[in-house]
Amino acid sequence: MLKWIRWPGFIAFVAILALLFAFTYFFTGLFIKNAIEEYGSDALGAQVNVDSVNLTLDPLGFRIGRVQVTNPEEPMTNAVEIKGAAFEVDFWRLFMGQFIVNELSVETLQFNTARKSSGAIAKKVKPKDEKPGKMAEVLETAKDELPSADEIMSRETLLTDVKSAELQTLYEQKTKELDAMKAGLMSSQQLKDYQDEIKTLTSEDLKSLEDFNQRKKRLSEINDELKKEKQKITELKTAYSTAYKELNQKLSEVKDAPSQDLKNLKNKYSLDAGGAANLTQLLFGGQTGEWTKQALYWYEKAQPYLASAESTKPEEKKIPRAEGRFVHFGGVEMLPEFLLREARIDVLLAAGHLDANVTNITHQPEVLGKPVRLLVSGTELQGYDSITLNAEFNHIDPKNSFDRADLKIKAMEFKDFTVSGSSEFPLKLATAKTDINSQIVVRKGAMDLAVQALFADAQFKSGAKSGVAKQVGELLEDIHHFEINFAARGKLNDLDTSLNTSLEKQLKAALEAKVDAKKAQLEAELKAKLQARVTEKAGSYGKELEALLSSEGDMEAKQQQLEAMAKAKLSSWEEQQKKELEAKKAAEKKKAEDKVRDALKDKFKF
Amino acid sequence: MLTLLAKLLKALNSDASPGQISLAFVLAMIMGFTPLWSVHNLLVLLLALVLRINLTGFILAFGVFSGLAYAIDPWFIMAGEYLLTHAGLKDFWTSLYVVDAWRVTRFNNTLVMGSLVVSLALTLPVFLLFNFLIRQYRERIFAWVQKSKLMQILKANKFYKLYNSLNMEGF
Repeated sequence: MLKWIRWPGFIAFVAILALLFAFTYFFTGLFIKNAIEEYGSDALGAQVNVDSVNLTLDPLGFRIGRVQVTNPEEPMTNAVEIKGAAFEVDFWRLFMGQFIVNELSVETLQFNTARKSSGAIAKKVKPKDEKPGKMAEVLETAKDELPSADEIMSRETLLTDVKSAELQTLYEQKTKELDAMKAGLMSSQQLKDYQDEIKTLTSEDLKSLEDFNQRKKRLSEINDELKKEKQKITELKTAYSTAYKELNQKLSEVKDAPSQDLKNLKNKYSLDAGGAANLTQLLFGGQTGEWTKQALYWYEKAQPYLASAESTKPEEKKIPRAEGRFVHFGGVEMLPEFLLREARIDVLLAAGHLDANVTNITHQPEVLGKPVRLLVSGTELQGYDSITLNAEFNHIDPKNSFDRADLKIKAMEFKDFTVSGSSEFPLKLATAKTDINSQIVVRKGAMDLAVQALFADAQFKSGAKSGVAKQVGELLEDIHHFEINFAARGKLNDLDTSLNTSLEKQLKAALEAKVDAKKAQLEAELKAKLQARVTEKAGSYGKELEALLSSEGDMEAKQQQLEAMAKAKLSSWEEQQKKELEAKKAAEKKKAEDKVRDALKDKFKF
Repeated sequence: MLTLLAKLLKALNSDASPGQISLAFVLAMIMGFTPLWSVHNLLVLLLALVLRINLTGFILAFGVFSGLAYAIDPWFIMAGEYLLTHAGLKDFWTSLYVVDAWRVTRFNNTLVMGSLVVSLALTLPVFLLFNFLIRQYRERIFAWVQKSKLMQILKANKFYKLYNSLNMEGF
């Protein structure tokens, strides 16, 4: 039987086990360190550096040295830095294919620490947008310092001026045309000569038939001349009428121009109430928006690790050999392949230390059946009465997973907090105490965030030296209690945000009053100046138009005179002929009667 | 690889006990069929090293059986599934499951259970089969192979020289 036993084989077996152990002991830490750095850097887009990872045997676990997680946006800054960490691993679970960490303790976690070297990963860095700040944009449109009426009048191209110039050009053109037409008309002397000639022709007795024919011919010629003159007068009359209409229209436009100018200038130079109220959105919206953006950025980075592994893996990893499945029989706690039961983290902020406790971190929450919970609290803090963050990342049911967090901060002190760093409107919150209550729920890719901040003992300091910014600054300096409500709802990549402050109403009312007063004053000044401009430029045209109208009337009278003149002469001629005829007839009749009377007298003479 | 093959041929052609070679194949079968990183394979490795079996045969056969396992894993899983979910065995499995040491063996994995049970079930038949085959080889095939023209040609090449050098070393 002994011939079947090979004792050196036992030594070889022990040697193989020793080799495996040595390999594990010396290289596991290195593998883990490299895995954290490589996987973390890939996921974050910036360097993750781990000083060391050492395997400890009693108890079995790991001791991790300093960990630096670079802020991808600022490669010379660590988003997070950990001084060190240690955790124990459930040895027997390793043989069951499970990596179970019962407790992780993290020593001094800090945010935004400086790096000695850049943590950027070689990639194209997107240049920062160099667009001017929104504050500058709004104050530009708001025109924090309204110019005087004279400045506006001299600076702007006014419609009144444009229309006045057009009126002047049209007037000159029309008067030129009318003058040319008037020059073609008969003079008064010519007309008088015609009148005298007609009188002569028609008043003197006809001497003979030839005389009659000659006069008739001359009268006909004169009538033709008068007809032509009448036609010219009709045309001139029409031209006068057209010129009057066109000039009158232009004059109306000139008269209307000041009101249009006033409207345009008001729009351009006024600060409306909406703009004033939006200042609060600008002052606080930028900061809250930035905080929301930052929070979302880190949430999106963490999100894949919070969700169930099954639900997030796009496709099953190809495996070299079938793995089968584990059949569980109850009586024993179901554990996932990876589980960090509890992590205790000492968070160091500028205000002091916070205690953070995270439980049940796993990529298979549906196996564990418990959500990841985070509790952060701090009481003895500089500048705060207390901070409490209570969060739950519940992905037990992949179809109905959600994340929620409640943050309560009591009496957070603000000191020289820069509300607006804009050069147009530098504003600081010199002092204030704030109670913040915030709730956030993220469910199926949609977020519902509500933040309420109550400010007390507030003291604003404005650096604005002129204009509306100065006025707003002064108003803010008188406000010591206010409330800010910020809400963000919708899909994570398309959030609908809203910001309401109690400051808004106070600022709005005060600004509206100030702005309205200034607007009214400016409006009155502009109105007067524009009217003066119209009077100066278009005032004389009214008289000119009246003259045109009068000239048109003159032409009408002249035309009637001509018609009457021609008609009157013709009528006198006919009457004369008739009278002469009747006189002749009467004379012949009398002569006949006398003849008959004389004959009868002779016959009956007794 | 050639060295291993030559060594195996030498062992087959020597006076070594067929049982030593057959047992090597059987242990290799168990290790090859079941998932490598299982606790029971430590025991198999210990046996392979401590028992006077043909290690060359063990290594080569492990490669062959591991390759085969890829193809027949689905049947192992089916077998494991059947055993682990069999109502009559539930109490038995549960009694093992509550003991940490048993769970360390990953017996509740369908592939581990199926492949191990099938391997163990095949242990005796495979052992006897290989014993029979080795004897048949030595009695019938070896002499015929030696005289064949192919063998004459092979004797002239590198492989045969290697084979001979191993003989000289007296493995």
